[in-house]
Amino acid sequence: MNNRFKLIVLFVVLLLLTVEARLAYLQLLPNAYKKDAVLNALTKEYITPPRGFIYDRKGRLLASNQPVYSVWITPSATRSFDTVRLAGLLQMEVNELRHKIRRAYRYSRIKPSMIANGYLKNDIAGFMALRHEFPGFSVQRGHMRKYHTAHAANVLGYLQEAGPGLVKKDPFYRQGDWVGVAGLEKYYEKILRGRKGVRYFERDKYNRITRPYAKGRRDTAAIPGKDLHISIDIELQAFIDTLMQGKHGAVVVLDPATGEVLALVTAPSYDPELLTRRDRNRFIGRWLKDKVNKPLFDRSLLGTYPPGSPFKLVNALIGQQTGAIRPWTKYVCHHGFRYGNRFMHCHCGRDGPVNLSYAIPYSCNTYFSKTYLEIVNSFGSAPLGQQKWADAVKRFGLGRYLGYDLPIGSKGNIPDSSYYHRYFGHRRWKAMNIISNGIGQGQVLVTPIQLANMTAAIANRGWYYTPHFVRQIQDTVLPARFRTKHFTGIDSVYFDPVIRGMREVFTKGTARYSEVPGLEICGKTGTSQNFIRRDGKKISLPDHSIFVAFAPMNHPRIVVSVFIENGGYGATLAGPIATLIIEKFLQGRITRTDLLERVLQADLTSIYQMKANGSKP
Amino acid sequence: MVRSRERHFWDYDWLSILLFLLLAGFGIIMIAMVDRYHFPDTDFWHSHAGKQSLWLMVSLVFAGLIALTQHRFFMRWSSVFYLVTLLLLALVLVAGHKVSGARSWFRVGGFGFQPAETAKWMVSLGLAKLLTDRNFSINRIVDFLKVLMLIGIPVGLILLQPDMGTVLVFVAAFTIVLYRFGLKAQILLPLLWAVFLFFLSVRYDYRFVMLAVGLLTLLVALMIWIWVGKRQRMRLLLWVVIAGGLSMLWTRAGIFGFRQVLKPHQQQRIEIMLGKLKDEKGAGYHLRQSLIAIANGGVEGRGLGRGSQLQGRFIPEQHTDYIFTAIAEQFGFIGAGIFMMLYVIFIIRLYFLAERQKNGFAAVFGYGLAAFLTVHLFLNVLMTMGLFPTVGIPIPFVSYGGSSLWNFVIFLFLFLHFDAARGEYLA
Repeated sequence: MNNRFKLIVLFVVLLLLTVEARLAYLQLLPNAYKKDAVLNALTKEYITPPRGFIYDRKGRLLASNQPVYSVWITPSATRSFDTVRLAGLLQMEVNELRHKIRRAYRYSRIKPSMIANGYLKNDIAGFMALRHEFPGFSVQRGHMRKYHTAHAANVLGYLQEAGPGLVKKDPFYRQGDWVGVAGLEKYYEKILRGRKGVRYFERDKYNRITRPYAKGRRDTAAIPGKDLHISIDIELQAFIDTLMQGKHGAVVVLDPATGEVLALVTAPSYDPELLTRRDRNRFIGRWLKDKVNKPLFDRSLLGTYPPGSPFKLVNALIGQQTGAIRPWTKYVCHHGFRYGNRFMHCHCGRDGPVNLSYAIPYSCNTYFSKTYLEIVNSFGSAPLGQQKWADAVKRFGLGRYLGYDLPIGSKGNIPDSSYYHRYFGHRRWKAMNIISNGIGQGQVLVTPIQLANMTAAIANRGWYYTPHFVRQIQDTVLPARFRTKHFTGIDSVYFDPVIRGMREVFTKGTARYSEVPGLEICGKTGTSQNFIRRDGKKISLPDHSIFVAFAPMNHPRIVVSVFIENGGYGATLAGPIATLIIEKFLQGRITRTDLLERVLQADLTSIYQMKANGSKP
Repeated sequence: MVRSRERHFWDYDWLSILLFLLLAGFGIIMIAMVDRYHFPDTDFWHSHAGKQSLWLMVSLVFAGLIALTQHRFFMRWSSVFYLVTLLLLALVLVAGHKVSGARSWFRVGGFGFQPAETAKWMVSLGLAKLLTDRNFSINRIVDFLKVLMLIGIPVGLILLQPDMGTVLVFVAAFTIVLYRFGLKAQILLPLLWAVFLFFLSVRYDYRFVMLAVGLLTLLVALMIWIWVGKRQRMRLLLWVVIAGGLSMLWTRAGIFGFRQVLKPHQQQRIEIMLGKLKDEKGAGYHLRQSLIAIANGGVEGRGLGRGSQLQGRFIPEQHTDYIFTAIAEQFGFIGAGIFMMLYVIFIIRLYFLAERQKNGFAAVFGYGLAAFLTVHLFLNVLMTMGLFPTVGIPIPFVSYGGSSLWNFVIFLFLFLHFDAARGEYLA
């Protein structure tokens, strides 16, 4: 019997050892419960820092923050209430309110959920006064964007609330956080948003906060977003907006010496303030459906157009570089010329030999078509020549992404050999088939900013800086890629005849009615044919009015490219607009008030309407 | 039996009394700590700690009364005590208060009274009487059945309350006692095997278990056929096949009983412990909170009255079922270890005392006491640590609860009384 006693005692000791072992596992070794002990009793509160401000190049405030309020519900703390009344106070639809509340219940009964956001102080004042009648509902203060200008919406962009997809993907964002979804707000989101601070609190089992954890020693402070100083001159931008009223198109203004974008205008655009309101989705919806105006479509960055005559400048430069033409090279123009069994018209006004210094100011199609032919054929085979030509063109920043600091863009199109192999079929084409490339038609497509950049390269006599909008981010240095010169590979000596030609565009050429006395503006008109296909038929629309210019001729400080959709001849609208901009920028005021008046009055809305409706204007 | 000498009060086992007072006092302090956060608004005498102190004092009065009574009185009247407990257990089923679905309590005036608690020592008295009767041999079928009935009837009544936890405690405790007093291993082992099969069939699909058992039986039969001589082979084979068959039947019956007899939340609790269900918010919530709190204790504990889980009131029933969690969080591995060791020393001391009794009755009774304490302590602690399903079993002397405290004090001091008088028995 004694043995059984021993066994029982042994059994008890074994039980004790089991307990000790389990205790050791729980208390001495790292395990999941240990971590949970801290988390279990802690709750985090995030402090969202204010978003960085945005200033224009003169230090004018463009974007700041304003307090915005959100309404939260903690279901377990609510008592019965009048949903209709609450919906009214919150300016929500009753069904929407009910739906949000139900969703909150499903998420968690004891944790708070947000049911509405985006209230300005006035909007929420009504609810705040009566909130004691709605226990379980609380109001949190946050920040929201405030735009101090009605212009540059396409540059600034706008914010949206972080959606469930983003919240899941990026741990920085929680429900209700704002995130930039377009423009600089999006591109510089990480810089503008700063870093959230965290405050730890101890809580009890009812999820009530009892007191700060560790006296706040583990808390981290919020780091405010960095301010952004951008290159845009908002006064200039606003001025261009008024010039572009009634017209669709784009204007890009650069500083060739630095690559800074002074203005980026797309018309028509919208007032960025409208997208900070609670009902902003209404606007977005409306604008997305507006296929006539497309205010959310940034034509300056995404609109691809045949460049027309300004493209001839590039051919003039490449032609000289490859030796295809010399300043004394002449081609005979008979108000056009024959090629194959087709005839290309030319309005340069000459029936006779044309050289470079004539061809540019009078925009001779013959000269440049033949120049292009010469370039392509001078390499032995058309495909090789075309490829060489395309590569040379691309060095001007055309046919590819420029790499500026906005999140959208288009490559345009500079057709090379492989493009034509696909387009026509292998070896089934030669230079004759694609001769329109010489005059900026054909398959060549550019965006307004690419054309402005190209002009800057010409104004600088052979190089350009990548166009950019940022001048300074708080106290950091400009990224290296914006301080790197890109060379076009054309010797600077070849630029002289071209630039002189561009000057003569104003003194005697196609833009002579846009000349501004006292300013040495160089430019080039462009008239780009465009078609649409309807029911399989090619329908011709009024030409796009295009103009590029820079001033002054030596040490240029401003480059402008202007696109007016269906605006007619380049000299009709685009040229005047370009020179008005230059005049305003360099001299601070406008002297040619009648010209200004004419431009302001020009209204092409009816054409656009007809274009969208599908009827031939 | 010859009276050899006068009994003096210093014959009482002071070690046990000391340990008892230590544990009871420590328990009150722990309850006070829990009170601080769970029930901060009550004054001392209305608080749990205060009430426990009061009850402790009252129970000491009982202890004193017992000391003044003749020990033989209890031995002689043990059958009466046993019958009284049967009555009370039956009565509570009809006249008791319904508390969370069970009729376990009488409300007398302002007091609660749990007959199951009283049954622990009263049934022990009855068992002691039975086992020490003349001509009793536990391994005789008739006598074994008597034992089964003696224990079985009160257990059955408790099962009807229903109070699964206490049923488990009774079964476990008396298993220990019976083992010590001669129950053959041949009876004990099948019992344990049955319990093992039961738990297996709950955790995994019972059909799978039956299949496994059947295959095992075949395997063993095969081995016997190959290796055992022809003479013994048949007999052995018969036993193995019978054992296998019964096991399978038992498995099926066990699951049936599990599903039909136990209430869904009880089934749930067991399933969660066995790892079949994973649940955080409901039944698994208490356990998880307890584990977190224990883990939070670390090596040296969070300090008296400290501990984020304690203070955050994350663990319900901390003054009763989860008092050990509070100990572990506040005093850590070291502190909890010391507590356990003290308690185990206390228990082993009682086993030792019971062992040295010359009087069989006192021995059985002593073992009963030690066994109940063993089972209570380890079931509770293992539960708080997640190694056993949740059962509402308190730690004697430490957990809050008047009924438990009085009855265990009576149980303890009754035995100490027997022990103090052991000098009267020489044979």
